[in-house]
Amino acid sequence: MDLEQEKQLVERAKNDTEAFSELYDQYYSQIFGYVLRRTASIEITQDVTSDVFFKALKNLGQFHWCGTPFSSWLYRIAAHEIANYFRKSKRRRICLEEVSDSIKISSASAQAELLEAEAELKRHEEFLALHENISKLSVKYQEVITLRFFENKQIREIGEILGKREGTIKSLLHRGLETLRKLME
Amino acid sequence: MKEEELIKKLENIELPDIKLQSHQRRLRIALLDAGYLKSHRWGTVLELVKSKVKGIKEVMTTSLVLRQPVWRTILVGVLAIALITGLVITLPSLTGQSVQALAADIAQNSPQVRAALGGGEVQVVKVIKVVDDKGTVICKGELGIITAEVDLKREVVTEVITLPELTTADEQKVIDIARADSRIKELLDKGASIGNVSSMYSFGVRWNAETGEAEEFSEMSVQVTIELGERTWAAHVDLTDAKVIRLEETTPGARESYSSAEGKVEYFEYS
Repeated sequence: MDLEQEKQLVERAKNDTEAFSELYDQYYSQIFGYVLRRTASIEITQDVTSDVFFKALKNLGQFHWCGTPFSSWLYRIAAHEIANYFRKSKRRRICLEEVSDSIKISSASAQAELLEAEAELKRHEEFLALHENISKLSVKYQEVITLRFFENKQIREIGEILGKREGTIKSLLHRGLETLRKLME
Repeated sequence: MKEEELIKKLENIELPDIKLQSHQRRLRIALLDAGYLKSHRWGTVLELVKSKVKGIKEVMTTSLVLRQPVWRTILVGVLAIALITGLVITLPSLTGQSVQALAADIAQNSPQVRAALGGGEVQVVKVIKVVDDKGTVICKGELGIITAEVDLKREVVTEVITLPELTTADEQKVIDIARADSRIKELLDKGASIGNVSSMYSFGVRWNAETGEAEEFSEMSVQVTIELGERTWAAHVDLTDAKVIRLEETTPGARESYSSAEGKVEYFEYS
């Protein structure tokens, strides 16, 4: 999907839930992956990803197209929600279990998939060790390092996502790497 | 560790790439519900809240308040408010939209359904019904239309019903059965002609003239169209029992009941 098609889809999605679900299908994995690589927790990732898309649905009417991919906006919401998650000790979560309970579904396959995902995450020992060090950094450094190296975003894109100038991103990245390097020594 | 080494480590580290399809599916459903409620349903939802609360309040007040002291009346009031709050909070998941959306989602993502429809894109035409964790969903694809029986508890399609292909001999048999029906014979005598013969899956709510009540129904039949000038009829033929099970005028505006046909699926709604 090119930017023009995406623009049209986003405009439709403002009044059409089906169009929104197309955007959702397009970007769910990307956002889920980003949140997972930021939090290294399947449980938190599920909650935060849910919050991201509910926020996106709620605020889509206020979204103004300015030539950057829709995913940048979703990444921005995700970065904000992750920061919120770490900031607040108590937070309201959109509980998908309520949806399942209401229709009396106790899916064994979903449970098995969750356990498998947890096991898969544990197998990435090197990543988990690195994440532990990254998580000790302040959130502003975590954001730029993760977006640059784990999400392969260019400096310009990171600036769009975080609403900061390219120069600021470069210096944040430099300082963040320096701090991380010292932590890992 | 030098900065270059750290950068190299960050660039080359194996990252977890985990997919949680169950979460993706459930979140999709919740979002569809939320979007649908946001745009369409608050009027209906509030009506539902009011009716539920009214019923609950009536039960509570009649069973608990009679000949009780004032504090109990207050307690009943507080409980009623708590119930109203609870209903408002949980209502989106109680309305049944989730069940319908889930049934549609299971059918749409089923490999069985996809295969039966030729492997391409699967569109959900309608979720006919959902009763006791079992749903019936009409889907459309490259190869036509199928009916999927869905188990919501196990989140699987249990049966895919395809419309039978009719041979030339079948079509002739259907025409012969139709011609033998007295009502159709009468039309033919007036100059009517037999039109297309096709398999048909019909479902919906219709008026039962014998019981005088509206009833849910679904049936697989073969439909023959009969044309007389600008008027048209549809005769539904049961090949097994060799009889016309239903003859209805399909001329626009001629029927009391509402019917909409999509492909070879016909939906009725008693009005």
